[in-house]
Amino acid sequence: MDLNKALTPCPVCGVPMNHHADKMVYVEGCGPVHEVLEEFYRCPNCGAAAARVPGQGEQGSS
Amino acid sequence: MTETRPLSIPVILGTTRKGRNSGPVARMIVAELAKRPEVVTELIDIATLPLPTDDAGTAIKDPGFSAKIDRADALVIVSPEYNHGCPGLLKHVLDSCVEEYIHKAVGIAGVSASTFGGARVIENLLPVMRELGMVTIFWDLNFSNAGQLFDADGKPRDPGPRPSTIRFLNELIWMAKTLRYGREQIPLT
Repeated sequence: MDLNKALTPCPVCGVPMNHHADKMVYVEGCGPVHEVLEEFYRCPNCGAAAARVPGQGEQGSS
Repeated sequence: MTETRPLSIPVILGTTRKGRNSGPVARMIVAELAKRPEVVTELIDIATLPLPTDDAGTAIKDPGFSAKIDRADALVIVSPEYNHGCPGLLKHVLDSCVEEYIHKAVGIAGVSASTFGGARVIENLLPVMRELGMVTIFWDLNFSNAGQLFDADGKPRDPGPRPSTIRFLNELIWMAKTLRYGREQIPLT
């Protein structure tokens, strides 16, 4: 499965980002604390970061 | 690979205690990092961070701290050893971020008034670093008898740097470069 095909371009410079990690993280809200799988991305051009929980959209940062 | 962006390697001073011996240690490490042309560094003193204690985790994330960690390619954590562990406020700060740490390098400098040089707090912190998603280097820095290492002005009594400091920073910088390349160029699948 090539997740890179589904990447959002870098929110800073528009270059396709690299998906470099999956990690279980704890989230709060909507009931008890629970774990979700979060995907982590970095831009190969400017180094900007992004993360997303599959099915919940993306959070970008610089 | 041509790399023009400098490595960002901040140093976290992990105690708020007045009279802390870790302060001169952290400033010394910042000064050594600043000598490296490929590195930009700064001191992050947790005593200057807003640290609410009526909540914990990402709910108390400070945007400034988060941005610095997100930009960082590696971290140096300077931690005193309090009762065989790290200061609670250091853990409180570290726990406020999550995604900022993933696949970053970290080196730990232990500080103690005893002869063990913070060896126990370093061992304490290693699994925490792993769980935060960071990669620890195999060099540590141990500062024993911390009250005697620096004069009243915070200058080291023994002019340095120590060879161990050089090796620690060399390894940290190597790991920082390697992981930056990995984060940006090597896909997970």
